[in-house]
Amino acid sequence: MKKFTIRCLVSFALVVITIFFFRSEIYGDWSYLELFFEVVAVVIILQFIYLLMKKVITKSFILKLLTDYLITLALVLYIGYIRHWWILSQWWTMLFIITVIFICAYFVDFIHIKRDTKSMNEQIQRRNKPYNN
Amino acid sequence: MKLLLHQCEDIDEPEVEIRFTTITPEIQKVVQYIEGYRQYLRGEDRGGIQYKIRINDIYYIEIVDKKTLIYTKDDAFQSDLKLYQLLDQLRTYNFVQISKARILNIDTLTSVRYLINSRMEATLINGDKVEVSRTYIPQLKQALYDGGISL
Repeated sequence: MKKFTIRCLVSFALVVITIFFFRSEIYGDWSYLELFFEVVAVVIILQFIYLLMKKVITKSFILKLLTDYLITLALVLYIGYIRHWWILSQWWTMLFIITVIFICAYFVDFIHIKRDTKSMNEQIQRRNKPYNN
Repeated sequence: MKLLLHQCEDIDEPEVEIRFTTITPEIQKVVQYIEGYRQYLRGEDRGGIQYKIRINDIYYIEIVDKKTLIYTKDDAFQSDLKLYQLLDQLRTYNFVQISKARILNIDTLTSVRYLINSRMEATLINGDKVEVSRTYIPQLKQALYDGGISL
């Protein structure tokens, strides 16, 4: 069986277990354990959507980045909404913070790859240089 | 290391003899390179004709539409083997995985450049360009440093 299919089945099983078991009233009011599993379920659902989208948009870097961005935003707003945490449920504040984090992460990654490129090119030149000794 | 070349009229194929007291990484490298000329992979062209492809002549191998294609300087051949099977065979000959569906002979590499999508583009000595996935950049980097001199 393909890795993707196994992952989908496991995700689906976990979501079902989480919804039917932890959403029941056995823990009474919203407990942190319940929140944890709730978030796990949401992450899995989002990851599931992401994997499905990746199958469609594998070639487009911008679309992949946008998907990551929207999924992160959705997750943060969801946690804010269910926990009534004010800062996390503020749409515009979170939009701004996540945008800044994403831009910073992208540039850090870009600089890192640029530096790798430089050192790899130097090594390639060294390898290809005629051996005179 | 001394290099002695003798021209002989009475032999059928070139012979290489290495005399050493202990095997050094340089000797291993020379042996590996010569082995690369003695080892072949089987591949067929578009017409279905089978060829023996010398390992040192392979530039890169990739999966296209679930088919394994072996690229040499000017040609492409189809192989029956899976990418992981080829990687197992070729790992000792300076081949490294550069993406989920591609293996590269690092001796054919002339330069790399970064792309805007956090990937790299490798240029080969025949001018071909292949993309290096982000996940495999450390492997390529390591292979370049471990591989020593290119022969």
